[in-house]
Amino acid sequence: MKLDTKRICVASLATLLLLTGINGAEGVSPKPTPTKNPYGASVPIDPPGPNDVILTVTNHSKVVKFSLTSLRKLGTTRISIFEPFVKVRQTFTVVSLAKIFKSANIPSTAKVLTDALNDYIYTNTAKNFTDSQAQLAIARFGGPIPYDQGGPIRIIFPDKSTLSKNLPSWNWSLNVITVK
Amino acid sequence: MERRHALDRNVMRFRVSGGQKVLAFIALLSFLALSFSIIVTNKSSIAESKSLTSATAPASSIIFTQRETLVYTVRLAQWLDQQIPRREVQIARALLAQRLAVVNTDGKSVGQSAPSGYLQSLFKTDSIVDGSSPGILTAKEHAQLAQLLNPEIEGLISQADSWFLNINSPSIVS
Repeated sequence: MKLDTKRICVASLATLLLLTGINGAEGVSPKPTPTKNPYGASVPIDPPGPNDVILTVTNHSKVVKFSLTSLRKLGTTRISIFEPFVKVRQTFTVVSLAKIFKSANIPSTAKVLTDALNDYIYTNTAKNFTDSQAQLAIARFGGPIPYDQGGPIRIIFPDKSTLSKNLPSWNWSLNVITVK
Repeated sequence: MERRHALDRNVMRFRVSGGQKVLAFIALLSFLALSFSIIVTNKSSIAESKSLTSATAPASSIIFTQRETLVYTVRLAQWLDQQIPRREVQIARALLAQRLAVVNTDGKSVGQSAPSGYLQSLFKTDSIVDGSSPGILTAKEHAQLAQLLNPEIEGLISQADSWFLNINSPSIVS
């Protein structure tokens, strides 16, 4: 049987190009989604300063006030999640709610009330939040989260966690956490 | 002895015949089919109610949007009455914008289903708020803006109401 070297070369080259293409597609980091809200006002709201109080956590007599700086001191990580409201993948800088609960000595059995700037309230047990690895997002794609996109801080959940499917628990523009 | 034989004959009569077996089988099948049907109906009812009450279901989104619209108009009125600074109005407006940008389960954003009159009123209030000075309004600004802003606040509320009614009873408001 005679080997057609020309054909083999072409086939090999095509396979190589195909594999390169696949690897390349996997290696490309997702481009940041445009952040401008088409329904937002034209004058943007200044994000809070690094030392402005943006979250108050109250566990009966114990009150802990957090600024962006003090939240960062708790330790941050970055996670990429599917944002269920705008239905795109986004990368957030987060502090785990478990750390925030710990800072205010909130026990896992406590019923925790999360209250947003628009007085939207969502309540669940601390355990259910931590079991779903609830996170407090303090930045998106490395920058401040605009107020018209759920900022400056918001609760998010990793994909496939139990509460990730429960949209009311994704409290935007979080203001206060209180133990009931 | 005679009595015992009579008893045996009676017992023999209670033997399950072939026809009875077929009937029992049909009854069992019917029972299983009914159970299956109840389970399937329940599941679909639960799924339907979940989809209707989901935060990104179109009907729920309109309710949330109406709430945010009312909060925004209250903040506008408070700002106009020199009770709160402009920043608080802007925050309420931003939260309304966030709600309008939510992509519903039908793939459309809430804002895409908004009546054009609603968006026009909204953007008119934006131009008034953006053109004012930061902080609490002065008495002079209050007098100037009241005439411009009050009709827009009323327009926004009535547009939100009609939007909500259109979604819930399209045959009534057509």
